[in-house]
Amino acid sequence: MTGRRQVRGVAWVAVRMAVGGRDQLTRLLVMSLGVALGAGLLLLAAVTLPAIHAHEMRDAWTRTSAHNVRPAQDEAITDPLLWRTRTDSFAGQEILRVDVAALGPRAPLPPGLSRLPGPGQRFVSPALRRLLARTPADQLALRFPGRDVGSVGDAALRSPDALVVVVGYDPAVLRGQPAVEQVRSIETQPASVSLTRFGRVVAAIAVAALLVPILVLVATATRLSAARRERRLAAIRLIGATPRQTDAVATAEAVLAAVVGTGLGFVLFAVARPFAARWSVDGSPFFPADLRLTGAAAVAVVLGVPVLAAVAALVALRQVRISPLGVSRQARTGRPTVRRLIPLLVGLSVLAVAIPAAAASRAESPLWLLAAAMTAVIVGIVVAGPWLTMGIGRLVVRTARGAPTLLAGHRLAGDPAAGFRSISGLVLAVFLATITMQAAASAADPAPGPDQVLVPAGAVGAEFLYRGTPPLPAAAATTLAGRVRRLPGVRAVADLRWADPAPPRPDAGTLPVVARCADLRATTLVATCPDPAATVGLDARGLGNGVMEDIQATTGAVDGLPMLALLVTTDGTQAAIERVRTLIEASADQLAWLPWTTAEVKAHADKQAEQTDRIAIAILLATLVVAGFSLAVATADGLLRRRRPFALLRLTGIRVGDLRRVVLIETALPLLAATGISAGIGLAVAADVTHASHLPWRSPPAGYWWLLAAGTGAALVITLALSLPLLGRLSSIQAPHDD
Amino acid sequence: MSAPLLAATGLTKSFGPTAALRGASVAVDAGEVLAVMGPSGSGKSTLLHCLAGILPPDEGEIWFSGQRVNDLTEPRRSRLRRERFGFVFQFGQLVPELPVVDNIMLPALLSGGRISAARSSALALLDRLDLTGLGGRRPGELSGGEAQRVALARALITRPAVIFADEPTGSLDSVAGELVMDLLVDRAREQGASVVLVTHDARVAAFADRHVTVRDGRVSALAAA
Repeated sequence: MTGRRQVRGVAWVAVRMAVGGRDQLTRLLVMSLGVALGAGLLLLAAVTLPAIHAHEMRDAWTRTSAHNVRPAQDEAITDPLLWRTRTDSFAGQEILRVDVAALGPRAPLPPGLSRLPGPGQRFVSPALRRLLARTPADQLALRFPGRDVGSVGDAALRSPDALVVVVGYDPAVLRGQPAVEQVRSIETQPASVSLTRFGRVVAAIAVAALLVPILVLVATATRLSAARRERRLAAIRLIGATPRQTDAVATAEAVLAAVVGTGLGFVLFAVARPFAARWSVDGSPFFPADLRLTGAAAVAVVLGVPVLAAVAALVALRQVRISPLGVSRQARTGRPTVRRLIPLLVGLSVLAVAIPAAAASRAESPLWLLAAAMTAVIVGIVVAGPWLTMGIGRLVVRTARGAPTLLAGHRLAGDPAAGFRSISGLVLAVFLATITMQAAASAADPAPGPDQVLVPAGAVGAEFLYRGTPPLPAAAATTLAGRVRRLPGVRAVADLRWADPAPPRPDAGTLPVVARCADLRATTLVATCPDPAATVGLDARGLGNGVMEDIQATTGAVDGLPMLALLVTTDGTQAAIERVRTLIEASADQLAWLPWTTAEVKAHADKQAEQTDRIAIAILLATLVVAGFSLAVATADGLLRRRRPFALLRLTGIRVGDLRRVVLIETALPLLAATGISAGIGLAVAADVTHASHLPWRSPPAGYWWLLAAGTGAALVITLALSLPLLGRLSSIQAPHDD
Repeated sequence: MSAPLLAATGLTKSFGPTAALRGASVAVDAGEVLAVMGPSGSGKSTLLHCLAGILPPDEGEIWFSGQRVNDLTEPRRSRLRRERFGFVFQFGQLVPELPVVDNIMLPALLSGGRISAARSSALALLDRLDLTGLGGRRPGELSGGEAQRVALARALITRPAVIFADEPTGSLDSVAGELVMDLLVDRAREQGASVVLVTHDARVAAFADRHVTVRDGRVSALAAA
């Protein structure tokens, strides 16, 4: 009975010490807000990956082919369906166009449709319907023949703003056209299972990049004002509290803050979720339902955060000796030595082996090895940090010219662990973001060489190149070129004709096409050309990739030849571009690939790199926010911990301004030095990643370095802005008596 | 003659190369008020800390109520401090976040006492120590003398066998100090508690039944008050 009452008594003491007064409530609130930020971000991270997976799941049907990996229907009992998917564009937005023609009543039905559209009918997504309503028909609607008979439902839409149209055809019209397949089922296998090796490497890094700073923040926040708490614990030790009871009191306060913070984190998550749904982390926004928290994730956060807080509190208590007579730091075994570099070197060595293993294998084990190695490097940086900080401190002491610099140097050299603790979160963010950004830069499509600059900006291209199908017949080609020329905003049209009786072979390398020299010059495809016409070499991969070369004069009549490709230069206005595109699509249904612009070709080529960039920038920003908060909390805690020495320094005549300089120097110096070193180690690890992924080495873009400099600077400014006023209050001449 | 309530023999205690106690011996009878005097750095506070089970001596023995304190584990010594000893130190060692009444209740609650009973006892002690109406204040809102009386109330709440007072008037003026000493000695006698009073102030020592002097780590003189 007494035991139970003792537990109740300790709980009462813990609660009273945690929330018994205004100061405690303020402290608890600050701790809880730190935890809330961490918990909220954890929850967002927890729903983001399943949401991306939901994107992929709903995208799976667009990958339907004659060889579906996981068919939605039993192919033995369905009728065939003629099927073609093409990517269209409007003002830089992708439109998925699916052409279908049922060959029987039991043809498979794609998701999101109530039935298959018949000839002259179409289903459109809600976003496309809105776009059609506000866009002139000659710029968009005329591309999609037929009348609306229904909406494409959410089940078939990657995101709420997805532009999708399913066009019904007469089988006789669709059969035999380029890129048309006969399918018997709809694909349900998402693309994620075929995630690239590079993607898996980046994913593993991204998870570590986000999780570690959040965990550091939670641990830092729950240790706020630990020094004051420890002195209170010493007071209750004097009157007979056992070490276990003081552990329980300290842990209870941290857990209470964590519980409140986790609750606030859920509120933060609920508030942020609608905004997060609009955040195109993988290139598309989410349906709010995509960001649904699973029970397992919620339980993991609800239990995990308080457990982490309790562990952090207990670890912090182990670092001090709380006796009835007061608190003393545990005697350190000695100053940090160069041996502290060993874990970092071990981690980097393991990483050097793990990265190529992960990149070369689709198995799960190398990914775990990679994650373990990454963790080892992170731990290594944390372990090595105090040694680095001590070195900086000694250097500062040797070169100091004033009291503030000398005090800061001695502080860094004398207690390097405390000096580094306040910047560890930022250091990790820099290290991980540098890796991600470098990897993203290396994954980006290389910029075209000077001899490859071919298609002018604002031009629309259309190609009739597809697996040996015949080009556009001469008469239709001439009509099409003539109509395009007459469109408003069109500057020049180059129609590239095919002189060979046999259809072109896409694997031919360079295709000899015939064109009027005046058109080639007007569209700036070539600078010089022997009039009236020339045979030029066109890269078989298409106008967007190739160069026009081997220009030879020809005397044949151009108009009598079928058209292989069409390039239209415009005044660059969106209306002109879309009118050209709409006219070409409406006139020539046999395009395997719908007309494109230079910017769209580039955007498509850089899609993966852009996605990685977007994720990396998101992670960098999130980690900077988290790490900045960690830095502010840790700096404030450092000031609270040194309240008495600072106040005594004030009593000896040192000005507040000098103390501010002490804090500035001791925060900024290790931060800047460690940021540089972390970025350097990050670049080294990234070099290994790119090498293992057979990608060319490229430095992160200049924008990254600016973002990093601005983010680090902002974190420093915010930290100092929050902590320096605190310094004035803490170091007042009354402070020595307050305790 | 009965055995002393608290006795130490041959205590030695060093902090690194500095020897604080060099074979100190002392005994305290039940209900006795013993003043431990000596100059600064003589080892008198270390002697008190050893007697109270706060610091383990390097050598020597400490006996309290028939049990050898040296042999007790840290949790057992904590329990001893909680249930049988009370403390009044120079700066009170109150928890500044807690109101006065909560500070007084702390030892009782840590011992498993009922919250309601502990509160009643705390309020009663406030009355007995002329602190009526101050139960809701924080320690920072009290005068030095009031804070020491709160510390005394906290020391008394578990009806300890021994009260250890280390320079209890060290931070007070003479009037407040005298009041605190009056209350300390009177209430201890009311409860039958012994008092080990460390001081370098002869006026404070005058409240004791007996004096000992610590010099260079040894209890070098014994005298009746």
